[in-house]
Amino acid sequence: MTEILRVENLTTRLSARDGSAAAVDGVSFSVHAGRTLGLVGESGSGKSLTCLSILRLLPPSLSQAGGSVWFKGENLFDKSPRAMTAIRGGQIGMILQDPMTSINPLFTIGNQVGEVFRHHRGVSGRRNLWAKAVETLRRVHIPAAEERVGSYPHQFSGGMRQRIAIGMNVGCEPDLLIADEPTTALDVTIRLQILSLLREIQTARAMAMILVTHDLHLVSRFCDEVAVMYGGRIVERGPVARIFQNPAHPYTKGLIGAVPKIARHAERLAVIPGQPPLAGEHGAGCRFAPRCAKAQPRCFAQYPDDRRFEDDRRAVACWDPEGLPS
Amino acid sequence: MLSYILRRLGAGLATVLLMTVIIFVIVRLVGDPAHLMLPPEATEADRDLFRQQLGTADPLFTQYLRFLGGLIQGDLGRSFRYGVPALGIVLERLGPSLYLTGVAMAFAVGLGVPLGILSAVRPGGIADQAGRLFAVLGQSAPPFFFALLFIRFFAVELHWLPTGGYGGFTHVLLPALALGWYSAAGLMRLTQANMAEALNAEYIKMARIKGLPEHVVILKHALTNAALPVITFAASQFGILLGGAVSIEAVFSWPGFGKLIVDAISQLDYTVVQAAVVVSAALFIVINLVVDLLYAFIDPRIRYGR
Repeated sequence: MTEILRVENLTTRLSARDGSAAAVDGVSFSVHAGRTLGLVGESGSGKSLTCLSILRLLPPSLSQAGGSVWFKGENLFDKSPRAMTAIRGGQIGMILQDPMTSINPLFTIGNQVGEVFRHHRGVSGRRNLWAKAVETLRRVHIPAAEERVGSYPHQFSGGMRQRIAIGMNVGCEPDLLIADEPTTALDVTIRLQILSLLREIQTARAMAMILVTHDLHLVSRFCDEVAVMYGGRIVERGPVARIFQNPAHPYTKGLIGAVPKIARHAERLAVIPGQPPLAGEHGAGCRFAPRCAKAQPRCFAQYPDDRRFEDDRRAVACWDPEGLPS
Repeated sequence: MLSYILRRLGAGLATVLLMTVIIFVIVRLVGDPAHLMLPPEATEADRDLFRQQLGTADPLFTQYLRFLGGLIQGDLGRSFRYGVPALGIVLERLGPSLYLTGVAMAFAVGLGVPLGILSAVRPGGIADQAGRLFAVLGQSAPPFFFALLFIRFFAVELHWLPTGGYGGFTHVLLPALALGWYSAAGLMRLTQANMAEALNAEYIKMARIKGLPEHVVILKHALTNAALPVITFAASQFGILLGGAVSIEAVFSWPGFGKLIVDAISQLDYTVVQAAVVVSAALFIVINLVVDLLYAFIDPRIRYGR
């Protein structure tokens, strides 16, 4: 199993007038060829920023403060801006949440799919680019691709647009695809189709994938590994089956417990009380401590180190994890 | 597409007709040329005779029908003052005006749009700072002030350029700069604001994710989306400058359209005013049509929405 991406101690800081705060704080994980990592967490937990950090596309208010991103054995943070441009879209693709806004409304989809081949593969000539676009659109199952290639984004439904966005990002056969909540903005009926398309493309070329989501159900069905983020840190990671069976971190446990089940007629939905912390607005200790039922004084005083277990395949950052062979 | 253009031209024609009715009535409310053009000692009989010669003695409706009849044949009457066809006088001034406005707008677009793009791409950068100063100067001082400043500096002190008069590129340069500065400042601000907004869009993020070079991201994906309001503003400025360059035309003794209209109004030369209004209304309609076609060309949602 080839390791495609290894993120080590990634730290991203939000710079404000009164100092700065870490929005992503010492995040580490790795993704392997043909496998999918689910990156789970609430809004503002740093999932999307982690992904943008990998591509070095942080908005101006944020800056890279530390860590390294090893992509196929090379540190992306050592790359020149030019080399990064070649990697983006060529070797690493990324899909955004809302396909209604992520495609430029003023150009044909053939133009926008084709331009990827122009800049990454040196394909030139309108006819050749068009042919490449048609080929790509077929691969993401756009019906009647030859006729639709000259259409504009507003002539497609949301699901079709997300397929087009996927096409733009997998056309050059990347080794890694980051999908940032790719189905959140879509109709429920369309979600499964998009996910099975992603799986199909992944299997065809053993592509590594990061799936950012807050949908645990999706993770359990689609991902091989999962990393749970809270307050800019990864609190627990490991194989999906093991973590769902036996969550070690109280937050993971709470998340899994909060998924409503149709079979069980609970009077109230299970919730984790309280609100997640904002970047910089937490103490030195565990970020989850204020909401944790099991919190002890030392949880507030010091952030727990990662504990590795199950042959190093799992890790948890908790002073008192559950169900660990200690 | 053709039927759309024809429909727009039809609506334009209706607009021109409406304009003629309005101007026909208004210009006759201002005063009577028989009082202005004849000496004070002329008798009332002399004035009546004069009115009959001009055709202003007839009822307003008759006068208007006669005007329309002439309009269809391309005859807008003779100037009360000079006795030559009014349309000829207007068209003679239109050339120099188009020339001056064209150069002024080329300067405004050529400077304002790139500065606007640069300052949106690097907020707080050199282009942003310089552009801000440039825009404040351009929008706070009247054009004739720059005109006098330019004449003093470039013509009187340095002898680089002529102080005024109609002629080739050396003659048009100073009046065009003075005239276009305000529009350049407006274009710069508008381009900056629209570019900044476009650069925040998700499709720009996606363009970068796709690994497109930055110049493609900015000039193709962002600028095209920011272009529509900029084009509208540029076109409206063109129309405004065409007839509104009176002070610049006066300072540089440029034989333009704006000064002609002001003179014709003050001399109560009805036919020249009417001819000028018909010509400028027609020009406005053509400019607006071109802008609308550009819109449809740039934005497929407009093209297919019809």
